[in-house]
Amino acid sequence: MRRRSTEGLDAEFSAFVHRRARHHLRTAVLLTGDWHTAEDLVQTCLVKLYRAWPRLDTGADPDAYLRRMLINTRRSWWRVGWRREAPVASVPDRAGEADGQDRHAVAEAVRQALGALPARQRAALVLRFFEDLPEAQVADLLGCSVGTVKTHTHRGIRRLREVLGDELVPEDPGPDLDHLVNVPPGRRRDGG
Amino acid sequence: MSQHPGPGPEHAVRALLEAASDHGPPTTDLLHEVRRRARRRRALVPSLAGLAIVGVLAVAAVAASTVTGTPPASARERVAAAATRTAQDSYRIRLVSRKSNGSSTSAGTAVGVFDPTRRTGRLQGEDGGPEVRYVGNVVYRQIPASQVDRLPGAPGRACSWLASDQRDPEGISELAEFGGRALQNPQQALEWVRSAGDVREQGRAAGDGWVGVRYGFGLTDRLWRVTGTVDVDTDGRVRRLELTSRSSDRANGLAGTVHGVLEFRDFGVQARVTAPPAEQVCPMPTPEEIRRERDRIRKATRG
Repeated sequence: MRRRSTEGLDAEFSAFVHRRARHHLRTAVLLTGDWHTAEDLVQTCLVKLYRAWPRLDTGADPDAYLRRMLINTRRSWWRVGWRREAPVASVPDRAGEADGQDRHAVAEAVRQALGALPARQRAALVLRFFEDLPEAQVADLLGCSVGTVKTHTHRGIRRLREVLGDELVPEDPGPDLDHLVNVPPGRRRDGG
Repeated sequence: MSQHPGPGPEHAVRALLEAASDHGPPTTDLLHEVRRRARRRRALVPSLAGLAIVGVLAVAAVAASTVTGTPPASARERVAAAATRTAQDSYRIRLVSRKSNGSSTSAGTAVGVFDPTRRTGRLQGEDGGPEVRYVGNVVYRQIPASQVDRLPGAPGRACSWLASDQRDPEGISELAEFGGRALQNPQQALEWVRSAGDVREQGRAAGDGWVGVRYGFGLTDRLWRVTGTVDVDTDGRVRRLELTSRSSDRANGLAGTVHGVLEFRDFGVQARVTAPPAEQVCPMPTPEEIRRERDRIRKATRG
């Protein structure tokens, strides 16, 4: 590991926070459901990152470190019952029907709908579609297989559609049917 | 070849997550809080703890000097420096545009990601629809599913993407390029802003999680006049670019007004954009090929 000066390390960390903290705060609010908990989560993880910063290799990706800390810390808070979210007693009204074009109302409805998802489905959706991570990386962060990530994602989208309506979460347009025209005649679907 | 399916639920979920995490309330100074909590836990490297005594402003000054260098003197230089700074990192973009030519008006909102260092980017309508990808000098425009068919000049096969070179001039005027391309490619917009003249500081600016300064600018030639504002945050980045482009170029059918707002955010975001599969790409038809095709259709319609 290349040796860096103390002033350089501090400047690097400060620049990283100025540049990326807001993005990770947004990830945290999607994971936790409210801004205050999200801010606490990000602060807690930034403290850990601050401590670890001098040990990070210059080629390391601090975003990846911080992202993993957010996921793991959130999970540990949930396990010990700290910051456990109040269960959503009833599903929100379908935002598409009730609130039309009001972006803030839709945003609140989406956060509530996310809050109604199991934690791993929620994390899978946030990591895949907000952080834009490939499935393999999401699997590594969640400690599961790629197949399980696909399952969490599929079920999470389906649940969001049930809550928010298919105006906001449309159905999949369907598979590419072209390959079916090349199926040899006489082959049955049961493989017989 | 199959028709390209419309946008699926994943695109919608992506947009919903963006909206659900946007426009948060003002937060505490995260860096200050991190230092305070780290100091309380006695976890600091001692020399770093000493820096905390100086306070947030000093740290911000260190960060600013590390990131942006010595502030340039004039408003024009500051805006040019901000455009340069913004082009050094990837970002998300939201682009709202409105065009009118007296007889018709069109409006739309697009969102996307750009990575200037890799020269890649992607734009798509906020509610889905055809995508535009930028890979190096080439622009790939997705064809709407209803129009996937043989195109004039196409190599005898269906295409779902049309490719053209970004460097190909429209052949009208340089300022027309700004009015049109600025609203198709934020990188082009930043390039033009860097060369804008008549730049004046107008006052404070603020947005979601940032504060800064607003500058006004203007660019004119014989047929076009472009005016606008650029908001630069305290990190020296462009956060918002608003422009109005007015043209009296009736000879080229470009008379009218274009108004657009580009919002830059989420710097450093991962922006993986690749070219579409080569077998799905056709070259953009030339104007001559399009004119011949229109004539052919017109004659065929008359029977």
